[in-house]
Amino acid sequence: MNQDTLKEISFKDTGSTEGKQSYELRKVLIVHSYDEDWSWDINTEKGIIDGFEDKGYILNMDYTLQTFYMDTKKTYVTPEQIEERAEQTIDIIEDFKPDIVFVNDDNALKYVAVPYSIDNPDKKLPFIFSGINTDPEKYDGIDSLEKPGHAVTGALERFPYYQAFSLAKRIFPNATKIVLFADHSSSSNFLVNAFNERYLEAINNSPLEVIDVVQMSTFQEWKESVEEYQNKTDFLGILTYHQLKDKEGNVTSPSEVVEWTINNSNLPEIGFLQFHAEDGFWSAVGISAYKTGKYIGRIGGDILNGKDPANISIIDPNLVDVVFNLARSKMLGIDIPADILGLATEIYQEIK
Amino acid sequence: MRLNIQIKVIILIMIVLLIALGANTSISSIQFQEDYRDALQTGVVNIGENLKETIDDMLDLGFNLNNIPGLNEICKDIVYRHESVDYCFVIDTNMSVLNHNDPSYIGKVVTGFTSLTVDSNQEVTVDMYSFNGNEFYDFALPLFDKNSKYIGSIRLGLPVDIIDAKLNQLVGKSILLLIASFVVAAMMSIVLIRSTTRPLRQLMEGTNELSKNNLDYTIEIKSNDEIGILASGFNRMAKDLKKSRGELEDYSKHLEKKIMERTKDIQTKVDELERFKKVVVGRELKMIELKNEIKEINTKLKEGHFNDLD
Repeated sequence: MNQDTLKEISFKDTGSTEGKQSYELRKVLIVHSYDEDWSWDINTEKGIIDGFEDKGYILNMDYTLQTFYMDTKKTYVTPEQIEERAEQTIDIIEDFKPDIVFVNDDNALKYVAVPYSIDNPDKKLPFIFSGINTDPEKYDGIDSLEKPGHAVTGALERFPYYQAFSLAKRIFPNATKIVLFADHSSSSNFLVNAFNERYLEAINNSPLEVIDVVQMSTFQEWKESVEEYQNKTDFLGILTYHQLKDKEGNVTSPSEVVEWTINNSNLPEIGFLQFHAEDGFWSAVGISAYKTGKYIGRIGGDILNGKDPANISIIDPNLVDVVFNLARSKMLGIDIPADILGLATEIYQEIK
Repeated sequence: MRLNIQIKVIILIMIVLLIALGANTSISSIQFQEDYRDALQTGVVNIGENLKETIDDMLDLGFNLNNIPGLNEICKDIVYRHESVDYCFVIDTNMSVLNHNDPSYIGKVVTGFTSLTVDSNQEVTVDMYSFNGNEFYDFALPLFDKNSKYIGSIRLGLPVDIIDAKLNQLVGKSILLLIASFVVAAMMSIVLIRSTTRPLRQLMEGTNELSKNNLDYTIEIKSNDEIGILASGFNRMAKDLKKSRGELEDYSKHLEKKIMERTKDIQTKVDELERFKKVVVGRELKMIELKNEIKEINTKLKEGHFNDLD
């Protein structure tokens, strides 16, 4: 009996570990769009490993794992550099010959997974993506969200506005209004457009009325807006604040933005990424990188067990982390009810 | 009605094409419907499993199933985010609704659903249900407490008409594609058939021209197929015919000339004979005259009239 036969017997089975006596370890590659310091990537990877384990695949016993950081947020930022980095990633795929590839965030999907699957349709190498804000149907390798049709599937990343607003309303039953703040980066533009399209135009009976979505280019504009809305709204919704420029045109550090805001505003902030609360804002209701990773890890296990990625719907897994910063809560004089606090996956006691 | 070859071939091609495309569309539609339903069901199961994980986390934190904060909002969030999910609710073992995307259902007892009989089997079950006149695939994900006791279930509804709508959309696209393919194929076959029958028509015209003695008519066919060979044979035949006719005309013209020459020769001979005849006749007359003169002289001599002799 040769190894190929054994592999086929092992992995065409149901997700259990029975019969998984293959002599050859499966190979898993994780490609992150950003760098090792990006906490989203680290937590996603942890989730993938745990999700794989749920399907009976244990790291270094059933599969070997290789991770590659494209580093397209800090170092390789121009389109040419990203392309070059994508070519390196494809070389790694050719050398490592993985059985499955996880791609994290838009650049890894756009520059690696989609072109590779289009250029090598016969290889049918499964790609599973996560952290995708954009609409993946725009890529040729993906037919539709319901039925991707090819070897690329995965999970969408959509900010959980409804749940965030509901939670805020639960804590402050009399609150009615929120304003959203964002910088003017391209990703912020996308977020604002997506918010208008996917939330404002899609949902009825929002728990909070969104009175404005304000985009600012400078830190000075941010300051003025924070002061302007003090008496107009009940919450500050924080989308992005990492690309605000100072008078000289330099990017203001996020910590400076947070520090000024919490010292000059009496409005509780609601962020949509976990690190917003970690940075010092009052709360964050955001997509959980770990849980999303676990979800796509389970999908990966299903695929290794024989499921066709072409028939796995691309969904928004809607896995949310609720995070509070109690130091900021104390500054604002807010007592978070115990049952709500119990929902939190993380609580920060101090401002970063 | 008489149909020429062109029309016959086009009709034949269209029929074959229609059958092939129709069969392909039918098979593809059936396959797509199955794949699409599987994909949607997988998606809904995944959504349900993610919700189950969230609820399990809450249960692990010590919340009771009937008192998990924010679960109604999560259910509503799921329904508004996913077109494939029409309802999302949580029921206890008495089939009483604990949480629902539509809070007006909370506290009501659901009837018509089969209660899950799950003790050790934690698999998702799928059944078809009709609700408010609409059909749903109902996905039930059992929930267990810390002691693995069955305490309720998550129910997610996938509307059957989504699959039908998608299939109709696909069939609509297929029909459009079929029509487009049909038109393109028809145009191509017309072009192809015309390119085949045009030389035949030229050959027919050529034959007509030949019958009208137009031997200069040639057919311009550059193809190397049988029709091309036939056309070049026709051209060669016309050329040979023309050559033969030319030769015949030449011969005819030559013959006339020869006849004229011969006629002229004969005329000359006739003239010569005439002249000869005249000479001979002249001489004969002269001889007669001479004979008469001799006879007269002899007579005179005999009669002694010597003075009368000249």
